[in-house]
Amino acid sequence: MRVPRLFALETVAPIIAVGAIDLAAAAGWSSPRPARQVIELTGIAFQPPSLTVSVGDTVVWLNRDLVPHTATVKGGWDTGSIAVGDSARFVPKKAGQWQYACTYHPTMKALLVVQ
Amino acid sequence: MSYRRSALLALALAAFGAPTVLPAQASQDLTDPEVAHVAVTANTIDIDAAKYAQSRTSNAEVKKFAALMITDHGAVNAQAVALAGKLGVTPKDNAVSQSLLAGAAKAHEALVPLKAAAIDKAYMEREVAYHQAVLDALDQLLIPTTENAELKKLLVAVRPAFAAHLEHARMLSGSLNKGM
Repeated sequence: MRVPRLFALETVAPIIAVGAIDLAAAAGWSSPRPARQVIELTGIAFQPPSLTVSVGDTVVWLNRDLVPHTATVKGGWDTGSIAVGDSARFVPKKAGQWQYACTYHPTMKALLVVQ
Repeated sequence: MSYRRSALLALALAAFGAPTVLPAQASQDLTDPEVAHVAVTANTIDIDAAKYAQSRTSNAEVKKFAALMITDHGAVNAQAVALAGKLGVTPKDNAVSQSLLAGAAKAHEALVPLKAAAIDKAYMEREVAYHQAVLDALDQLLIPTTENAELKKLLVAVRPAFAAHLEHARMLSGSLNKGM
């Protein structure tokens, strides 16, 4: 099932840092702000192939590969096609584990854990 | 090109249906413009084969695979051409490109008389052989021969796509042979 409302294309330019930036946690606040977690699409693979995030974090798939990709859960969420140099984002609203894959390249699989 | 490289490339091209005797030029290393030409030729060959398969098959998975080949190899070619332009390199025709084209023509001729499921199987087997041949050519000839760092980097970056296509083609070919 395609859930386009949860995803939005972004340009590469605003993405400067790769990985989580959690300023609130660094400052010792008890209720950290949502983090931004980036998964790179490169070499026909998701990097990292397994990622754990928190509910409310923003997960960004950034396509640094030479060809288009998707991040898709069979029967679940779907980023749709992510063109070369583009990205898509997803803000999980509930905890769970999702095995996802690229619909174009069936050998390209990864795991997203939301806690 | 060393004797070892020549022999390995001959094997790779033979697997794809090309002549096993390499032309005289293959006794020398390829220049960067020639490597660029081989890369573009290899991608174009698979795009053309995919378009032909799309026009002949009624199998949804085979159609989907062919569409992926058109998209991916088209994207790679666009970046290869853009890089060649940036570097001021004009791709130059050469004996290896000609061997690839000869192999492609032979493979195409074998597909033409086939019908229905037979063409699906033959196309997917051709895709397995083609991607294996190009991977061998990348590893044994194109990447080691290329001098320009950016062109070499592109060839290295392209390799995982060919490897993924090979695995995908093997999976689909296996399914067809089991009567998918």
